[in-house]
Amino acid sequence: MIFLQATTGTGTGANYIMLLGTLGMVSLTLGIVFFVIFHQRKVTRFNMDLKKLEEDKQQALLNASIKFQEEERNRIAADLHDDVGPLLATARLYLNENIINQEPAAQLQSIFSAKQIIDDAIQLIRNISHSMMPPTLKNFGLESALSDLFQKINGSGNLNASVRFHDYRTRIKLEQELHIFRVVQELVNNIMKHSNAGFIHLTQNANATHSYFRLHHDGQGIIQTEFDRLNHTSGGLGLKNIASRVKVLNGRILFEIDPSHTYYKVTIEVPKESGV
Amino acid sequence: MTAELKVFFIYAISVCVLLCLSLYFRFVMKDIHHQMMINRFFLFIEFCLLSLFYFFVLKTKFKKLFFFIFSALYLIYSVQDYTYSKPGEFNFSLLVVECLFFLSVIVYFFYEKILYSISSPIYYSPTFWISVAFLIYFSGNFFLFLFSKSMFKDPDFKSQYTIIYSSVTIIKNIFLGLGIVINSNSISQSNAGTGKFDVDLDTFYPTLNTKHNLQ
Repeated sequence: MIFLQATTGTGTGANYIMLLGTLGMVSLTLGIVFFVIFHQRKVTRFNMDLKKLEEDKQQALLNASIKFQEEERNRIAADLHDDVGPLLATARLYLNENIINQEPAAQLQSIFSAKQIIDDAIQLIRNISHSMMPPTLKNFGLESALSDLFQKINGSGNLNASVRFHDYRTRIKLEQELHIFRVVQELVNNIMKHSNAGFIHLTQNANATHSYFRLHHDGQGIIQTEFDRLNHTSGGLGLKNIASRVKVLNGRILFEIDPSHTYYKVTIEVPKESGV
Repeated sequence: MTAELKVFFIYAISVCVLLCLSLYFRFVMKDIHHQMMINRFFLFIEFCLLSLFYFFVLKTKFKKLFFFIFSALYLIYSVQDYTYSKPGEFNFSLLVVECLFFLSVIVYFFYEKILYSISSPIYYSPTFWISVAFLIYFSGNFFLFLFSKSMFKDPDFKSQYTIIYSSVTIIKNIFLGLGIVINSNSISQSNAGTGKFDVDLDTFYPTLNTKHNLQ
């Protein structure tokens, strides 16, 4: 009835409809406005939390990286101080001024001993230097460096280690190679230390845009969720270092377990950046 | 000042000028015919300027074509209405069309805000409050304009019209004012966060050899 009155344009029915309509429209408008404000606030808050988490993660990675660097420096300093220093001091003792007053045979003996000590010191310095930048990596590339590393592990007899590169015709940048090498080295160290594995196998392959490195081992490993958890906790410096290196490479790392639960897989994906 | 705010200020100035003109013709000149002409012109200007405002605010790819086509259609409709209507008469269907158009545009604007505006709260944006003002204005007056065509001569309706229209317009103006206040607040807030300190960090007195410092 009211609607009929309204459509004919007379009477108070139309006024009521107009009033109700206006009230309805205003309520609807206010509803929309409040919905937009609260929804957007919720989304903004969620994003801010996410951003904060990401910042915290970045901070942890940065701290880990700095800490790792300091530890590396301390290790080198300790190596130089504890090993090279005493060796050179001993060599100096052999070559001190009294050598002139000694018998020729004793002189020769002293010189020979000093030479041996100096050789040891040279070897020690070489070892320190190689641990900082493996010469095989610099001269022959990642494939040779990793093969070398795995050969050494294999040579120890405790672990069966093998490498297979399927598609590494073009070398990537040395800087990237070093990062990958360090990540693999850290992973292998972890496997050797914690997993009690019987074999480690590294496979490399590539497509048009990315290179992939996969480590298989039959020991006690971790999966992605554990990696993320360890990466966020205060410990796990090695894992943080892996994460930060992978981040520098703009790559990804994935920790998985085989569906048959017989071995673990760690896959590193890095974008191809030719170094030549 | 952003492009959309410039358009908004042009809109505000146009409203003032045309409102004064309309009142002048109505109460001083007692010329309803010219007053209606100014009202029609005001409607078209309002439509174009608000379209331009949302043209700058919206992010959609087809906005250029969309606003151009609708403004052209609205102009054609206004001219046609002016040509065929009796002198001194005002067709409220123009207002209804405008209401429907901007209600849709503003709802779409909110939808875009929900989608894209995720970095800072929406209520720090002046465009949000301006849109709220227009949304309240258009939704509050929609039924009023819809019924005005047939009932404007009814004295009861006229008094209701005055009350509703005035209330909604006051609310709209309050929100528009809020939009401008929010703008200045947010500017001062952003200044606080972009490295303005109370200490002087530019002047310093080197204690060491200047030459050495320069090296």
